[in-house]
Amino acid sequence: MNPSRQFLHCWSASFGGFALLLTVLLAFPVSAQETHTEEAVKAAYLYRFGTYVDWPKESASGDLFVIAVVGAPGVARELRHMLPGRLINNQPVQVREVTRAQEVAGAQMLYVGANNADFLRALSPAGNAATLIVTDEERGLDLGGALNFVTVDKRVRFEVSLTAAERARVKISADLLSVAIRVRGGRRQTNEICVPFSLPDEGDTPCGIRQARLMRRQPEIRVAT
Amino acid sequence: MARRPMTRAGFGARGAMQLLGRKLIMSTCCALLASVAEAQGTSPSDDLSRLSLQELSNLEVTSVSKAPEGLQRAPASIYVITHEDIMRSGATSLMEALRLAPNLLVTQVSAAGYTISARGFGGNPQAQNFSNKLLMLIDGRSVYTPLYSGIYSDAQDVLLEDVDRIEVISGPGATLWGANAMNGVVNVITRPSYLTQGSFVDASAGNQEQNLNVRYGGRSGGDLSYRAYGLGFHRAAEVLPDGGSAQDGWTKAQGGFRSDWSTDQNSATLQGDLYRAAEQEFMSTDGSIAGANVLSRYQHHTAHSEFQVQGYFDQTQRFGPESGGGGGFVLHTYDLHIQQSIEAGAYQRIVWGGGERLNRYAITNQMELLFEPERRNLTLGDAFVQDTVSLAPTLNLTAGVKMEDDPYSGWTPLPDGRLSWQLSAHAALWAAASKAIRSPTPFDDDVIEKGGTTVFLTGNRLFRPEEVTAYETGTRLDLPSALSASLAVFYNNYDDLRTIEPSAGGLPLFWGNLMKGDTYGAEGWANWQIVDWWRLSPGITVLREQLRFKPGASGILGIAQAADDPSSHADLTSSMQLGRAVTLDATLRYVGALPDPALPHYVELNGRIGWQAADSVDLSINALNLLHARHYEFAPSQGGEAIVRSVMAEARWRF
Repeated sequence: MNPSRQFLHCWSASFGGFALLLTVLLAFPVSAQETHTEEAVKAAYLYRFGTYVDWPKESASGDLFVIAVVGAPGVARELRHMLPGRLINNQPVQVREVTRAQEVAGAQMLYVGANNADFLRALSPAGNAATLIVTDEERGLDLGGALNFVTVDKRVRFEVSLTAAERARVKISADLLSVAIRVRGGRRQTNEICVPFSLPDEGDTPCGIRQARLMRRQPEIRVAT
Repeated sequence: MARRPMTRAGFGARGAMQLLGRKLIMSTCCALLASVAEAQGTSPSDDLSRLSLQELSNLEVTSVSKAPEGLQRAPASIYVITHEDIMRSGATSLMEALRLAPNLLVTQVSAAGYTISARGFGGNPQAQNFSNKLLMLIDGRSVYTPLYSGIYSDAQDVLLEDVDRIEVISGPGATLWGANAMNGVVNVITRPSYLTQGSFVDASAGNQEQNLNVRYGGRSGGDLSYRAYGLGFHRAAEVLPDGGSAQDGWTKAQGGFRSDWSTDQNSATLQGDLYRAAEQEFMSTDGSIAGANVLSRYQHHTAHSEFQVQGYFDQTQRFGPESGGGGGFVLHTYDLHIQQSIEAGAYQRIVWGGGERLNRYAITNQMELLFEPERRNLTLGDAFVQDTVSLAPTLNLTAGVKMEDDPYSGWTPLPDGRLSWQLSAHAALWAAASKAIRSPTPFDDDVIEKGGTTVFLTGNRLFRPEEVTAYETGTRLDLPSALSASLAVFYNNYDDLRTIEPSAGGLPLFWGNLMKGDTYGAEGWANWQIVDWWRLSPGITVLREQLRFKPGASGILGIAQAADDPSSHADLTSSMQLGRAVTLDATLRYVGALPDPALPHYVELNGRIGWQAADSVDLSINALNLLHARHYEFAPSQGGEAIVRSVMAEARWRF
């Protein structure tokens, strides 16, 4: 056989092998589909937060629910992709990318991406508008965030400041609080974390009293069974 | 003749099969590429929006690791080792984890002994010069020993699972961190306890080491969380140049806790550790080290200011083997510091603080190594202020000074000025000029070394601090998708470096400050996320040292006594996520030749293959120094031992 052909053969065989290897390697992202990008997960969180939070009636700015996004184009892109056809607070959602604190006015939710502490500091004087601030900083809650993303062990979690939520005059549901990695401050109201979660909702009755009632009920339950 | 058709037929069939094979490969390629394209084209966020919060919080995400605010924009050369980096590196000790920082040189000398240095001055033990120009803090507690200056690597263990990040700052940091932050600062920061909830068990075993780590974290109410941990290990002896065992294996047990309490504007932390280790000594009985510390920190913060009070007590003791003279020391450190940072208007941020440290020590003198006095109380006071001003929206100037009252040399100013220019959202330039010192210690002032009854070296009560004036500039790129990079160049001017001088009659010798010189170099690194499952991170440091004696110096031991540093070291880390459950990580490192005493360059590899067998179980094979059965990182004449390849299996269980 012609040595050059043999060489060619060898080469094409090894090329085929290499192509196969490359394809297998490139295929890994396919098998790794179960892991998502951080941006996509955060966008999904923002949408979900919207469904677990009650905004005051007067905050409805026209017919739209506005989510302002600062310094996180990836999250804004994912939100725009995800939100058409979905409602938050019974309103269609608009995503608005902003760069200055003044532009936040009228937004019900504000997401400030990582490394924008200066933006948060500039914002806080006007921080009593009914805007739920979601941050992504190590000290996000100290900087005025009501919700703050914390990435632990490759999972995006979040923490809550009830004080900031109260300042924004929004009510955060117990279901949201029960998933939070920690809940800080605030006068605990009816929708606070009250363990166990199955405790009956008794309007404004504080958690401790509800728990005490449950404790007192325990013997009765035992007698009954 | 008869064979030819056969061959032909055979060839034909093989050709057809090859053709078929190639077609198969091609079509598989196309199908897979198409599916990749499809997967990338359609965002998975459609599905994500249907998930509950609980489901979202259990999703694993791919992310480019990022440093917290402040670090990314800080006008300094900072490398951050993340929790994830450590967990995937195969490292089982803090010192091995520090190898991940390209601006740090980690040298393993013996089974328990490591030296760490940045920008040179890794020490020359023969000349009794130690790696003493780098400061290290663990959760704000200094672990730089005030007795001889330097870091006892074997006394600094943390549960790596609980480490949030390690910030490695090369270049002076004296204005914020004080004396001895001369060539760099290493800040080990553990996670608050509310992020380390649940149980964790981690066991590993291999030819050179066995480790067991446990931790439990819980909470009480919404505001208080806590954790407790225990760790224990045995590390086997390394090897001497003659091939025999160095007989320096060691065993350590350590436990500790941390609790965090926080409300809206206040947070408090209480944490502590307790450890004891036995270290084999060559042809001798065991030496021992033991220690305990407790630290408390209170912070009050509002959106525009933060006030912090921190106090700690640290007890460290170490004793050599009885048969070796039984020398050792007990050191108690009490430290109290306050710090406040204020946003003054839109354009100014002021940080000020101060405090006091008391070191009480008692040294047990040996026949030939004595300290006079052998027990002493050293107080160290300091006060600092630093102001960051926005000169323009993208231009920040930081200027500050620390006044430090050193027990030996009195008040010393440690000034620092930095300029940072944010060119765009993705690029920044910075430049800095600063001054720092390595402060005198009992080893510089009070030591007496004897040979038999002859005193051949004494400390010098007039010993001055070693000084550096450092000039550095750098750039940082952070491209949104896949690439981040940092490059810094530096020029350091040193003065009053320690030398050995003869007295009028020749002996005894005494310490002098008669060396000066310049060093310059560059350090750079990058993070390149090539595809979402593969990241490459190269890093390199180059260094040139031009040291010389000052007029009147004896020149004893030559300029090599100051340091024995490689002119370059580099590393390349590859991190692969192979499918959902398998990770493959490797760090190849190159360390250049040491000049004097000479040691050839070496190349080594640390790595880990990890398999997430279940949601809560990680299994892995870890390797340290995989390429050679043995290698040297430090000259044998300096006490360097042949470091043995270490391979181990590890299981981590979180529940």
